[in-house]
Amino acid sequence: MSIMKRLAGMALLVLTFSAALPASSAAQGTTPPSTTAAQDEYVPIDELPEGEKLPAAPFLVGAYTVLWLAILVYLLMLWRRLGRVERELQEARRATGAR
Amino acid sequence: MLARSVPAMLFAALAMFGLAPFLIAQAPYESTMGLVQKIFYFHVPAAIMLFVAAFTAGIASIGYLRHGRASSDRLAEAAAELTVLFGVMVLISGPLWARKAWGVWWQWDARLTSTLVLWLLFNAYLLLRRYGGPGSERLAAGVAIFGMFNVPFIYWSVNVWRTLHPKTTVVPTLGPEMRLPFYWCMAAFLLLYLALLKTRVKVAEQEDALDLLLAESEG
Repeated sequence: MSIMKRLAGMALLVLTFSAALPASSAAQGTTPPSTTAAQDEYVPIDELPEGEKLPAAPFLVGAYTVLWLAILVYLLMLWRRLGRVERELQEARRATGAR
Repeated sequence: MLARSVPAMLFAALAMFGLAPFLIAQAPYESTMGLVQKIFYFHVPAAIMLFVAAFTAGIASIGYLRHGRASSDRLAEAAAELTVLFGVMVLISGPLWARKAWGVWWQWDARLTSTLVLWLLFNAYLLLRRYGGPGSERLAAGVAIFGMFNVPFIYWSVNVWRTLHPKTTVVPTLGPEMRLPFYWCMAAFLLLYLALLKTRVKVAEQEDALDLLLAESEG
């Protein structure tokens, strides 16, 4: 009798887990991330709300600064690399021509 | 020496970039995101150039693997470097925008994660080229092709999976006041991309010529 009770208890436990697991994983998997930011279409407005102005500015300025810096640093690196390789090429040509 | 077209393209691109902030300032604010949405005018063109560069690297790599032409390999290497450059721009400007618009710097969703994977793949390409030793060009070409096939996945990911990222419908539905600065920046980025690509290919050509000359003088 006690074995039967234990088996029944285990079966109940397994059933409870098997019912709860998919439900919880499904709930985790389907919970959509929420945002008020536009995702489908941008609607223009003329005036920016007062509270909006300052907090966004550092992010905007930061993004543009990073872009400009990336472009300028890469340009500089490329120009220096081209100058160096052209100089080395000329020296190598002179050296091989002199032989 | 560089072809005359490169300084001309570069000058035009930089002049357009100089004028871009004025056009962007004239553009209206977006109703839900306000001021920070103006990152869009640089973030999206940089992302499109990232895709263009990845495609260039992938197609040139296919050409290199099929025909073994050194010029294809040089083009692939140049485009891979630009993929990393534009990837840096996208992956830094994106989180700055996200922090204000979504309240978080990063989301591990399909769009952001696959973009990061693309950037890492092309970093792997460059590391392979630099440290892989003889024969690494062919292996790197395989990586570039793999990266190229990631691009359509990144593009469509926002329409297929739920994400905080704006969908691909945003650009075609832009109002006229937003359209002008956006396409202006697109043109500037395209000119910049072409100028940088041509310059980087020239560097690779000169490096190959130097290697050949040194090998001849030694052997």
